Amino acid sequence: MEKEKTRIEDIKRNIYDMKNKDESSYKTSSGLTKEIIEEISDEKNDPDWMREFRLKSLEIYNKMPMPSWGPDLSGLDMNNIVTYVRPNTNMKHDWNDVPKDIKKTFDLLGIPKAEHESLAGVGAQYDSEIVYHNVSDELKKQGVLYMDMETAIREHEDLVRPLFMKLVPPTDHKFAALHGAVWSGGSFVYVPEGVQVKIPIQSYFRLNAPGAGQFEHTLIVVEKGASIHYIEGCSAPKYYVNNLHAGCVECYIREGASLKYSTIENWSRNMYNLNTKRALVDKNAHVEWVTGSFGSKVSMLYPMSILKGEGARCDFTGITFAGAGQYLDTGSKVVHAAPNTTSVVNSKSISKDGGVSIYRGLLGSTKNAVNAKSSVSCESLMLDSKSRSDTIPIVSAANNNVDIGHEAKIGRISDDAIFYLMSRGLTEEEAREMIVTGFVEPVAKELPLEYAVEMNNLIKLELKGTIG
Amino acid sequence: MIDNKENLSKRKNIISKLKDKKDFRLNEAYVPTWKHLGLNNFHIKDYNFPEINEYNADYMDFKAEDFKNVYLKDIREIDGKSLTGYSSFKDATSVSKDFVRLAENGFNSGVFLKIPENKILNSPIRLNFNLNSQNPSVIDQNIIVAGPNSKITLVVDYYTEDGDMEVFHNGLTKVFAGSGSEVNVVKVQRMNNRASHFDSNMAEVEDGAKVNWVTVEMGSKINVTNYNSDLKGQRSSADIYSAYLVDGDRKQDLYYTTNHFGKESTSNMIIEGVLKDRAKKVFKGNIDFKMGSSKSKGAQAEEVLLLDPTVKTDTIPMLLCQEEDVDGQHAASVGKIDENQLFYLMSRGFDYGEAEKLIIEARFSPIFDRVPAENLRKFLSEELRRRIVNE
Repeated sequence: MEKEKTRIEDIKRNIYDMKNKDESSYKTSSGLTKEIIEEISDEKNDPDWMREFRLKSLEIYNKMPMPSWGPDLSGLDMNNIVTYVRPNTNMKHDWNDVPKDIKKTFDLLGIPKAEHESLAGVGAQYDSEIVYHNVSDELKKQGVLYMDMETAIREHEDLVRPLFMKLVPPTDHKFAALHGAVWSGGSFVYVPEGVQVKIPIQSYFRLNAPGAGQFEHTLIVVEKGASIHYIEGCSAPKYYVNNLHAGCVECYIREGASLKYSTIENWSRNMYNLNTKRALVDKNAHVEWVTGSFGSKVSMLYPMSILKGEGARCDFTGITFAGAGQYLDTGSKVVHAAPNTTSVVNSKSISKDGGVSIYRGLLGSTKNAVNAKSSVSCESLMLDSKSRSDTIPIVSAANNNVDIGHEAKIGRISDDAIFYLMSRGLTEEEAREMIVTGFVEPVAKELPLEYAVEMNNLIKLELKGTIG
Repeated sequence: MIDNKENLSKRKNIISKLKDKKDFRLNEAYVPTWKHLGLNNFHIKDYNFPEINEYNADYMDFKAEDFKNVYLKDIREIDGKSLTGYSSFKDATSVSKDFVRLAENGFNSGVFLKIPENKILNSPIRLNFNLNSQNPSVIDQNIIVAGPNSKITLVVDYYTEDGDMEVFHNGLTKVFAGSGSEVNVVKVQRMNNRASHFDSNMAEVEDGAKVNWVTVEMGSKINVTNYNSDLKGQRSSADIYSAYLVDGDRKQDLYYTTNHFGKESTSNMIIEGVLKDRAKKVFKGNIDFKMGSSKSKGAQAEEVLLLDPTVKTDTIPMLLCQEEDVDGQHAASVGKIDENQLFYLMSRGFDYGEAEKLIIEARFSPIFDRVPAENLRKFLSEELRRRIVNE
């Protein structure tokens, strides 16, 4: 008898794939030249230091080679990527003022509803500019700053300038240099000393224009003893030209502070998602990354935590789901650079229908990292033999007073587990669904409820017949 | 002995090219990662490639009566043409293509072994390479062709008695394990702190055959080894048992790869390491499940003990997978010696060094036990004492 396999349905993309007519008010021409950078700078009314920074970054970009490892980026033709697209609106603080088609997009994505129900602040970026930004009065009273990056640069230069692209310098890699040259939009978050923000804030990035790039810059500063939960969502409709997302996230977490950074990334399947995220964690501070990578054609994303202060902690929980035509090269980097630092990395990946999912990790400890403790665990699930799943971790130690453990497993759903559940009265379909749900559960439980529901919808099981 | 002139001129040619090179990138990872970490290859700058002369001492040691029906020859006595049939392994990893070419065309020692079908050899053939002022360089090429259901064990020892002599070894061992055969290759490297040691090993494993690699790395200033096993056949298997001690200012780069092609193939890598003083070590291990290798299993575990705050260790355990129905695992643990164990042993009257040695020996012993030569096991234990307790 021919066996039929369990089908795990692909992510339903209908709401994400909805596209609006490209009605942007201003666009740079495609490609990358000094003139284009100047144009962006003019358009954004950059202060001089920023204009210089952009031009410097362009120089670095032109000098740097493409990455010599990882996914194939030859489909990415920088000459065809439009680096700056301004939507036909100014930034609003009330959803009713946001142009109809743009609001409709965010309505369908559930952003205003989520804001109403469970968020303390929301930013929404459409193409290159933030179109909506709002923060609850309560947060304003506490002195929390949450605004678009351009406003922050104009109004809070003292806070922004010393930190902007210091953690991820343009020399870091080619796409960091590109980001430095053409960045636009993104959010600035500043939580003053001792302020505990109980309700999460969220930025949603939407790329509508075809053949464009999105290069938002996010800068988060959590001062001494403060805490906040920041949520980032990304999506874009599918066009037949390749889009590029090369964002940059820099997080400064001061002594005793904590930041939780959750991302659900569901870019369309023509997106090159080459994003850089980095956190600098001071004494007794804590960073927690929760990341779900479902979309994009190619992803290279490895949130990095630098545990700089004694007793700093890092938790990373990630899930990657690669379907047909996707090459998702994701992972995490943790550098223990101080005594008594700890990190826990937990990564899961599922690949199906020819999708490629790769865990690439770095776990490093410097000479100072006395008594550093770290544990890394990676699990990969292959749902068919057309797909690929690789685990490429690096475990590095430069002093003997560390305790580092790394383990990884790769494989299929175990027949024993299915058999056990069936012996308890479940059908095979139920058993399988339970196992896959259980597989992603550690990530799901770290997400806010509506995101967990969204993720579970993304990984919906469709079962038929017996399973092989 | 035919030391044919052709071989000699080839060797001269290859070596003169290597001498010009100075800059070597060895153990190049076939799945590279972040370049800035410098772990994609082992980079040696300003390396002066030595002059390679003949190796004139006896190195083969075996019981003649056991090897009666076995084709066993000093590789130098074989016509170069009859070796060309054994130069496959196009995609195998190695120390470097240059180094393999040197061993294939410029060897000065080695054996060629062909074991007939069903022949079980319980006594090993041993190769003992004593590198000294008369014979400061060994370029060995060893070829083992195991017929169906045969069994053979090769034990190779590279050693120096003189602590100051600068010596050089580059080797290549190729194993063709016919269906149902078992091939054991045991390599012990205990050369001095001025030695250079490069060793590439490759195996092609047919249906139901098994290759066991045992590698003990105790010495050399630069130690670069590479093991590549291609599990071609159904139910083929390959294991690596590896123990290393790196101390002083020595540098070591190990790269092990197991490629699963056949169905139900199995592999294991067990690596026990100790780093001391200012030692630097990189270990890369690949388990690669190729498409079609369904129901295969591969496991890898590396444990690294760090004895001093000045050591540096990098481990890249890769799992590559293009097949759904497989089971792959790897684990790595890095840390210092368990203080409770030390404390317990010291409360029983051992001094610090002895206690440390005991704990390390306990880790190494499952691997040392696989060295089928009592004198070698004794040497290893003494060597461990010398390096851990006395120094």
